[in-house]
Amino acid sequence: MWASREPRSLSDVAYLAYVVVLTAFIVLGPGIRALWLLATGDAGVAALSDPSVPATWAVVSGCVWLLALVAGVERGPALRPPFLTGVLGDADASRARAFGGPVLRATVALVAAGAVAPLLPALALVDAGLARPRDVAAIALAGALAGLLVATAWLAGQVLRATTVGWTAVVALAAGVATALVGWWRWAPWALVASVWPGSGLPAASVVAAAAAVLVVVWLGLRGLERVETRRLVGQAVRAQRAQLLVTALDLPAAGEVYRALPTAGRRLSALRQVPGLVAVLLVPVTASVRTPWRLAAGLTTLVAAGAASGLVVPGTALHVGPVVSAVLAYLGVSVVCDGVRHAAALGRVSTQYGCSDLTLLALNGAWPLVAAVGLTAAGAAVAGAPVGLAAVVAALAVGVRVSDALKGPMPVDLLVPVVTPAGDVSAVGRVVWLADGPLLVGAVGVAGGLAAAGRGGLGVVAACVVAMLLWRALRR
Amino acid sequence: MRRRNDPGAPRGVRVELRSAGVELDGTTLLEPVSLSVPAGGTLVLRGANGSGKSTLLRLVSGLRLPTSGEVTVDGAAPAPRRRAFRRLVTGTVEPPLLARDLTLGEHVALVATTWGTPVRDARTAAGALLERLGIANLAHRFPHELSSGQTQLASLATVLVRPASLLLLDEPEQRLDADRTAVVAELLAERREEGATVLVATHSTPLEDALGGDVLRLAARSADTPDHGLGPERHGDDLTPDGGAADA
Repeated sequence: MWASREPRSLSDVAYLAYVVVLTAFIVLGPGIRALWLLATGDAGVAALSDPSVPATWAVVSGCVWLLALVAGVERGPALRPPFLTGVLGDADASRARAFGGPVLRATVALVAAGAVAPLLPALALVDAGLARPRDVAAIALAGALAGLLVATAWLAGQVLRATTVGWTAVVALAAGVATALVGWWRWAPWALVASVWPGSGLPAASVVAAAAAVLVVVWLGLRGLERVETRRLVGQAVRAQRAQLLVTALDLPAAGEVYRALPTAGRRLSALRQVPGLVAVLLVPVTASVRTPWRLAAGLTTLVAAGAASGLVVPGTALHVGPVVSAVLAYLGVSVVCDGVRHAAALGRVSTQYGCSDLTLLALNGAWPLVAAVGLTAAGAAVAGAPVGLAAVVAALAVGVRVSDALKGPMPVDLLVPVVTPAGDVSAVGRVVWLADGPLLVGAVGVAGGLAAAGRGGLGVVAACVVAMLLWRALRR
Repeated sequence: MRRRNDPGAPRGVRVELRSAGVELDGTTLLEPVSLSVPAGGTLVLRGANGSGKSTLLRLVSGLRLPTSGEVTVDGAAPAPRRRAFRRLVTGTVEPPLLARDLTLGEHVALVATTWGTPVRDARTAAGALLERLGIANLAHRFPHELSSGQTQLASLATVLVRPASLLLLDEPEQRLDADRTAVVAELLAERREEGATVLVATHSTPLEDALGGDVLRLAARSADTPDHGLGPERHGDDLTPDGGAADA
């Protein structure tokens, strides 16, 4: 009955298939070919056969499972449109039956993604004679199991209480670090793909551990799905629908705002300290950020990880990817302490609310993100033996990009004007670039940082671009 | 309460409109109007929806330029980008933004702090103002925990806690009950007694009566009024300095 409200005709389905096939040929095909050539080249084979690759798979697997668990708190797989979620949630039918469809679709997609993700590197090793075809099958199966664990962790995150998920994530992270330090990680579930990687020499015990983990999490997830409050499911459905509409309208900042945690803790802690005027304003964001403690903890942990990752090098090569990873992590992590920056940016140039100019307010609220980002990434880099100075510079530039994002304002109308070319209307490219200028600039910072780590120039130019963009947006308002 | 003659009290500013009107793409948002509000005076704007009350306030706040005529505040054109102008003017023409991660009490005190009030005094002033508005029990609430009426009172608190020579308020009675509207009227009257100039657009007759002062009634344009801005000018009541009221 619900599906009949938006029926799809045969021509709609045919058009969708046409778009998918064209996208596969035009985008995916050349992309996959480029990756294949990279993987089967000398540098690629050296990187894929490096002894550190199994450990890398373990780290990536563990991180993806943790992220899926945490993501489920805000948006899980068991969702339908808000009205339908409310009706089915309170209906007499079992939740597994009511929400089985979306959960199954998400699970199939993640299992497929898990199976496909390690395939290209594995096939490259077969091509280089370093693996057998049956190794590829084992890797695909292990990847599928890892994908299944992602899906079940995602569902578990949706149905368990948020504090339970938070503490589970903390314990899991601590367990991961502890097992890594004492060398026991090879028996842990996250060593699943690593254990079947050609030449890893790891025991297959992790496969058993992963299978057991899947069973436990599936049981938790299904049991929790029957018990979770309908109100919580409806809340997730409403937020998902709102975010989707905002993304469709190209208002990504507002879409992000939908999922930004609201403050609930620390209301009795005074954010306004008994210090002279502007110093008091400087300290307000520090206390204010404590009011979303889980969000703050995640952000600060990400900043430390950004510093620790800044020294990463592709195994077997001299390719410094650490600064790219560090820049992205710093950009993500510093967001949690930028609420004051967003508030100052939203006020605009002509606000009469505060007794200082908007630029002064912006600078005062930007101090805490800068100190947090630079301090924590430097600390993380120092602990991990990575270049501290480079990590600090990359983090500082990531903060600059964040502030620039806050000052961006609405999309210029000019970008909506069609740009007719022989290939058709390419105005969408301009809109995408405008929307993604923050991540693109962060990527450029990371690449320039990688070049700097290899003793080459370019970081200064990118830094100048970041500063110029920031000043231009601040002064043109 | 500081009196008009108190040397520490903010001085009011004179507001003048001379045939100031706004037309946009052939549509008249505000027919040309001339008025003069003396320093320390009060003007209440009444009129139906679409009559141009908010547009008039936006002209005075400098957020919109007149397409005809002239607007002056304290003898000069409104310049919201200038710090000196922003020091004179406050209001709800652009609704105040509440920081999502500050409690109501902190936010009001923070506003006062940025206007030069020491933190301790700012906390006291914020507490007293919230008490007057009847929302002192909400001082530890975050903005997302406030109802629409409470948010309106919170916005008014951020406006009233700072010093200003000109208050521009657009329907401050929105979402408020009669008792709270009366409190708001009292607070505005006190600011006027302290020397500030007050312009308020409102649909509330009790608020109009409580504020006193002069009233300008803007008539909504009918469908028959041609959209070429050649309608007759309407003049508000000319306000002359009231020496008697200044010494109250």
